Amino acid sequence: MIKIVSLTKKFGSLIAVKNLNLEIKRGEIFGFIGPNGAGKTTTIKMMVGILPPTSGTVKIGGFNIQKKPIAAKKLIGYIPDVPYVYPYMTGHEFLRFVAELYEVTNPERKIENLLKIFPIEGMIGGYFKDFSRGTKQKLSIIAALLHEPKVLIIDEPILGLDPKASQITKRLLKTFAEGGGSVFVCSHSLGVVQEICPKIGIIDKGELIFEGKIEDLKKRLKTKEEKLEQLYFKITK
Amino acid sequence: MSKDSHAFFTLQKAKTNYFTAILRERDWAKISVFAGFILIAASLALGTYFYTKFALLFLKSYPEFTDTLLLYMLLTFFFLIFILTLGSSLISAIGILFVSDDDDFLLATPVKNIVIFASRFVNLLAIASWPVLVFGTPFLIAFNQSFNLGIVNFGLSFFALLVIVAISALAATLLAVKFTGFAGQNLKRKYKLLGFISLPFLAAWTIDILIPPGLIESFQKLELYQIRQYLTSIPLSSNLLPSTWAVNFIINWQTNPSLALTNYANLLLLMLVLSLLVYFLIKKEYFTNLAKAKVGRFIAGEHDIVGEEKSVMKFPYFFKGIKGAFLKKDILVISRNQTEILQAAFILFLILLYFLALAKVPPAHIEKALPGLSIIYLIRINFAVVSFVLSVFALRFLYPSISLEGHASWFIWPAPFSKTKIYWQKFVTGWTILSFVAILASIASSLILKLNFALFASQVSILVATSLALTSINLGLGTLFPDFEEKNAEKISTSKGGIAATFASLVFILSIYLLVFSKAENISFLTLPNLYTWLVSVIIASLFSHLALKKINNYSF
Repeated sequence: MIKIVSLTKKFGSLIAVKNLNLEIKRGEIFGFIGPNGAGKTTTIKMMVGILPPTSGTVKIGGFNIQKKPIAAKKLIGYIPDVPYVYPYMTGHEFLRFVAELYEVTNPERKIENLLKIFPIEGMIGGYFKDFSRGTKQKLSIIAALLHEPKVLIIDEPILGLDPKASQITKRLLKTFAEGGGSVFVCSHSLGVVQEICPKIGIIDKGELIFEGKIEDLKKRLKTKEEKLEQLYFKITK
Repeated sequence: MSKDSHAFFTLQKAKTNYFTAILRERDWAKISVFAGFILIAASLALGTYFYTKFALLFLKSYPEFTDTLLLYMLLTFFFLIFILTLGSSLISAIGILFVSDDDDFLLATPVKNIVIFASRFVNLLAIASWPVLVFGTPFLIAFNQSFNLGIVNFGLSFFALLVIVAISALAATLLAVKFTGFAGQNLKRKYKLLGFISLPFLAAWTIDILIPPGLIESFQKLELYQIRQYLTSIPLSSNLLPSTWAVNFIINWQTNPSLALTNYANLLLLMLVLSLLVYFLIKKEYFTNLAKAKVGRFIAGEHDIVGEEKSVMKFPYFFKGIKGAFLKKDILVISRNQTEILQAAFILFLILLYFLALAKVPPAHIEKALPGLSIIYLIRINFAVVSFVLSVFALRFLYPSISLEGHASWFIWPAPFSKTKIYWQKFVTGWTILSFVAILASIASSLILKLNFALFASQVSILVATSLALTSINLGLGTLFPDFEEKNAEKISTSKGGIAATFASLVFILSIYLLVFSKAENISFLTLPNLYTWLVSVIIASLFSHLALKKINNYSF
């Protein structure tokens, strides 16, 4: 569903992402981790088509995001690390706005259904400027699901969410994958990544230094350590 | 140094650090913006200086008129400075004193509220004093030189102007504090409403003070000594206006020093009384009102702001499709933003002010007062004023409009539609709004100047074409040089690209004025000037739109 081939991004002399190759199939949740400035967000931005790569390709559902952006973007639901929305827009207006941008049919019914995921019906009449970080995150998750995407690309899925909402989000991502969707999760919350991502990729200084299951990582590091956090420290040392 | 003054200077230093950092980092984009502003301010100041010198030279060549016209000139000038500083203070007071990003951080520190207020009040004073720097100081220098009044008079006159600024800022602060206490949670909405209601009245009042009924007739009918007598009875010379005290000080400085000093004392006394009022009010109410402005009236419980069970307002269903969605969004987001609405109202207020003044001087009087002045001159001035206001409007609202979408790039740019639709939506909306204002202005001027239909249609045509060019220049340059980091529309408008857009707009207006109007004796509908303006506007629109559309689909975030 997601195919990244020889993806490279340079900012002047700095190579932010170097020759990245990845494939995420239907029904897979892929965790993408790495230190600050490793190239995670740059990779995500190239995947969703808001940053052109220097070279290489990203294909979503077989569509090249650079050459067939409209077709590829129809398949993507994107949740950023900082979900900024116009301060004077209400939560409900934001969801209707997104629905119109994605030309969603029967938007009211879909919004009503998705609002059942997080209990925020009573809040969505308020303005974005008054929302907490968690409420903004919940609304951005609902917005990403409105047009029934096939691929979810998420930069920090549980940032600002309370424990209950975090649990709901993790379950939501698993259900999405079980339904045949692909999920690309980028996060510093290694516990969450370990819990929901059967497969991970570790990027450091723009290069993919590991790709596979956590078991494979243990074998490579020749350790019995169970926690991803400890494994991560070892490989990025 | 006491703890409070140390805290005050630390807060001030934090602001000046911003400027020193720009210089240290050699941020040429920002440095050039500041340089551009200084250049514009310096040009206006030089213009004021030479124009005042010229006007005073002219007055001195007709000694029988000098005293009378000089009095009116001084009263008008000081009154305008007072109104400009008061208007600036009123617009900025709420934003500077009560709505700031560092509120939460500062209130949690052990710095006294009065110190936080003092630091912000200095900002308000600095912003309110721009008319003194740009117009007041060069005027006083020219005035002082023309009449050899000496350095002491200049120093005292200049200080009088600063006192007027302080009076305006203090009066605005009193109003802002009381208004915040009263408005509480709905502060912005109510302030917006107050601005909307009060601006036209303020405009009408200003014009009535400047040109009272019967003024023009008096200049024509009365003898000189009678005019002088008449001028002391008009509202502009009312002893209730601080500007009148400043003028009374200047004109009586050499002939009646005790009267001059009494007027000066009035100014200082008013400033002192207002300072004390503000001091006690701030000590009593600043913290509470600051908190009210931030989070409402402290009615704890389920009905407090966030989390309140609000009735869900449905996203309006008019205008379908992507462009329709952006139009609806723009209407909702801009109409709810107090700053945007107040600034739009202020810009429209400038046109209103001009037409109120024009209505006071009907063409029949102008032709009597200045024989040979054709109606075409008034139409030319009309074009210059309305085009200038339209360009300010385009710069403030169209130039930053694409940049402001950049913050929502995470859900707009990954959405499956061509981003050129965003450009076209803003283009059509912008041109429509500017044309609407242009048509209203044409109707107003046609009614005031009693123009025939052909001249009215011609004015509409030229101004709608001008609107097309100004829309294209500002939106086009805003798209070509976006600033996706800045969330403040005003700052985006005053960036390097914004300065370029201002110059391009002014060059366009000036070229149309010089090439079309200055030579035309007949600007009836479908004549060469009209066609020429359309031709230039269409070429500009095509060029800027072509470049902007190429750019907008290739943005990187």
